[in-house]
Order: sequence, then structure tokens, then C-alpha cells
Amino acid sequence: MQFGVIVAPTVKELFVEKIQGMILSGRLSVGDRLPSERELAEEMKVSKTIVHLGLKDLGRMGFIRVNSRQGTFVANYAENGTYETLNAIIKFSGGKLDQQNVASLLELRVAVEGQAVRRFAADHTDEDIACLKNMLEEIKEGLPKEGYLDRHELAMKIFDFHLAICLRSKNTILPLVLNAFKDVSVFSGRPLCACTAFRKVLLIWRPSSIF
Amino acid sequence: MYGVPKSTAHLETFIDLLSSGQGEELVSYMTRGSEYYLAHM
Repeated sequence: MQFGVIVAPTVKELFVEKIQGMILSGRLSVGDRLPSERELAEEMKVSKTIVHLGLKDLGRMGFIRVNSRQGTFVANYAENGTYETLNAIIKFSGGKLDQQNVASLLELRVAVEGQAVRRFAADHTDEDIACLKNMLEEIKEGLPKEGYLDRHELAMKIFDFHLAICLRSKNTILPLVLNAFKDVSVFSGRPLCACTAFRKVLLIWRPSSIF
Repeated sequence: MYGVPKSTAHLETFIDLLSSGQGEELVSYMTRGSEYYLAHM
């Protein structure tokens, strides 16, 4: 049994999560103007540097937009968000995605991996198939033995199986797209999130016998 | 313990369909799996 390392969040991460939470919970709406960096720093008892860097992260994730003359506003993250935004949404919701988000992820999965399997099926070698079979054997070894292979490691192995299909599809971009969602699938590998991470992998990559 | 897969049957299906060149069949299989999951979540 592995217990893993507990990693405490930084002050900047806490700041970002606080603002994300206010946006995702609806306490802040699209178009709302945020206080200045100085005001936020004073009110939240953090340094101006933390606020500045945190707002930069929030901007990159599409949660806010900065207008140099008018100030900082809550943005529509669906318009400008990235996979980081999806991670934030999943984290905020405690790992539980609503049906629409699950359906969207599954649709994306079929679009990306579907194209990879078409290409792989049409053009592959015996070595490609042998590689997948070897990976499958490793996954099998970890299935029923509680404590032999933790859920996070098993999730990683299953993700890698699907990544191998994309890598061997000979399309150089498909594996990059898949990898962009690795964090969503495995959720930064934080031990405390291991169960949640595994559930997310289940949602997206279907390591289940019902498929 | 939720979600730990009971078998690797679906991954074996992946390999079978890929090795036999049935890419479209596999895409259909993935789509059906997604639909089944959504219907039962």
C-alpha cells in the first residue's frame, strides 16, 4: 500500500481557487468588475505580487479579462478557457461532472481517439499490436489485487494504453491533444485526489466492462 | 471501491478490432459505449 506525499497548496493557488470558486458558484458574474490589485491584496491579506500572479493565472484560464484602462472583469470562461479551466471546474465540483460535461468529454474522446483508431487500424505493424498487448498484460496484472497497483497508477496505465494508440496513429498532433487532457484524467497526481482522479479517468477513458 | 474495472474485455476488443483493420467498427464501439455510459450514469 502506498500513501504518497501530501503537498500543501501555495498562497497563490489558494488565491486563484478562491476567485475561481466565487465565479463558478455564481457569487461573481460575467462582467462584474473586480477590485484593484491593491484593494484585493489588502482585503485578502496577501501580497500584491500574489494577487498580480494569481490574476495572471485566472486570465490565462479565461476566468477574467484585464482592460488596462477600465480594470479587471469577470469573463465568460467558456469562450476563452483551456483544459486548465476544465481542471478548475472539476476540482471545484469535487470531481463530479454534470451530464452535459460528461457527454462533452466523451464526445471529445471519440473525436480524438476515433481518428487515431481509424489511422492505426488502416496502417500498423505487428510491433504496434505487440506493444498494445504488452500494455494490456500490465493493466491485467494490476486489476483485482488490492494494494498491488494503486488506482492512480492503474489509471495512468490505462491512459497510456489509449495514448499509445494515438502515438502510433502517425498523426503527430493527436497525442498532443490527448496529453492536454491528461491532467483532467489524472488530476495532477495528487494522492488526496486519487479516487476522484480515477473516477474521471473512468468517465473519459472507460476502463470498465460495460463498454 | 468504485470503478475499478472488473475485466479488460473492452481493451481486448480495441486490440482485436485494430489488428483486423476495423477502425470504423471500433469508433462505433466507442460511441455505443459512451451512449451506454451516459444512459446509466
